[in-house]
Amino acid sequence: MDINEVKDRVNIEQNREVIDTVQQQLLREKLFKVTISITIKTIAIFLLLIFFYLANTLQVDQFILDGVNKAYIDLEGNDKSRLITFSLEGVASDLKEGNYSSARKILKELPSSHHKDWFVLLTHLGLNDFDTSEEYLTKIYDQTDHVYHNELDYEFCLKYRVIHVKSFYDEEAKTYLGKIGYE
Amino acid sequence: MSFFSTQSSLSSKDIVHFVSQNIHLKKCVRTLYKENYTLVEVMVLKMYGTKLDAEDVFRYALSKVIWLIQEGKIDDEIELRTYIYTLSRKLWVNTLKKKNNYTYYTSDSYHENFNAQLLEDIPFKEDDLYLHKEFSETYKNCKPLEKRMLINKLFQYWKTKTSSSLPKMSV
Repeated sequence: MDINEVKDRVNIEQNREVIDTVQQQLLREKLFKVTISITIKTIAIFLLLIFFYLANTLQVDQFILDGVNKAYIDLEGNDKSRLITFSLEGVASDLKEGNYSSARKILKELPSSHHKDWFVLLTHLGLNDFDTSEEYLTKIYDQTDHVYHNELDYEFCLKYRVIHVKSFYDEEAKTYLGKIGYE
Repeated sequence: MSFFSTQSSLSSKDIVHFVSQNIHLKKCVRTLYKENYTLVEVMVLKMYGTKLDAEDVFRYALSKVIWLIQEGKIDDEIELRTYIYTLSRKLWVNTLKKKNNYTYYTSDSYHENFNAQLLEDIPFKEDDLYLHKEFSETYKNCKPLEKRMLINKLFQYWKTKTSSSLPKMSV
């Protein structure tokens, strides 16, 4: 091997060093991608399990009842109108008993208020009218100074979505004609 | 020549241009590595090699192709993929021949990226991969030295090596 060949081979070795660096970098990137992929899959599975758990255990009536219990109606403190306050109490009572149609009738007569928005949201949720309840959900969410704005936390929204998805399933279940074969 | 848009937009022509100018070397190597490694790996694995063999062959072939561009011995008329594949295949076949373990693959010699004619213009020795491994080891041992001294040291080493039988390198 003459001196020129040694020079050439040194240059080739320098190139190989660059290749080694790039190879290590690609390997690190590959590992990072694998880690990210596993993490995302784990989170997805975890969320799916939460969803299935909630779908199985969540009761719409109980969810609405919890919502009613969050209402801040104070008979003594509300000095606007006792009649309105009593009406809202009536709506709350109807919602607690599951009389959503009756609650809707009372709400129609009441003037706009933060309490009304909250009850309309819950009432239409009970009536499976997601268009209207969604409308009020958005309204409360957008108004940062709304009395019930802070009630729309992640837990509430997640449960709301689960009920929404469950409502599709329930509708499908009603139209399932499998039982006819046994009659 | 849109260099910063995407990886795939770096064509063979762009790479030859950048490497011959000695700019964006890492970016070029990255593209060549990503686009050609699997091709070489499949070839080596098909011909009784391991993944480690494939890595050795590919790294040397790639470093040699880059050097050939730097020396102006490769222009952009032929795809770099053809150079890398042809050189890798030749290196691996020679290694197998040395091991007396070479089974001729007719189908592989007609591979779209194999061009035996290229090898006629490339400075190439029969036992190039073996020599490279030896040299690489010695180079690593001498590495902290300044380049001129490093070359002299390696030259002295190889001179002694060819005159005697493989002395142990001490730096």
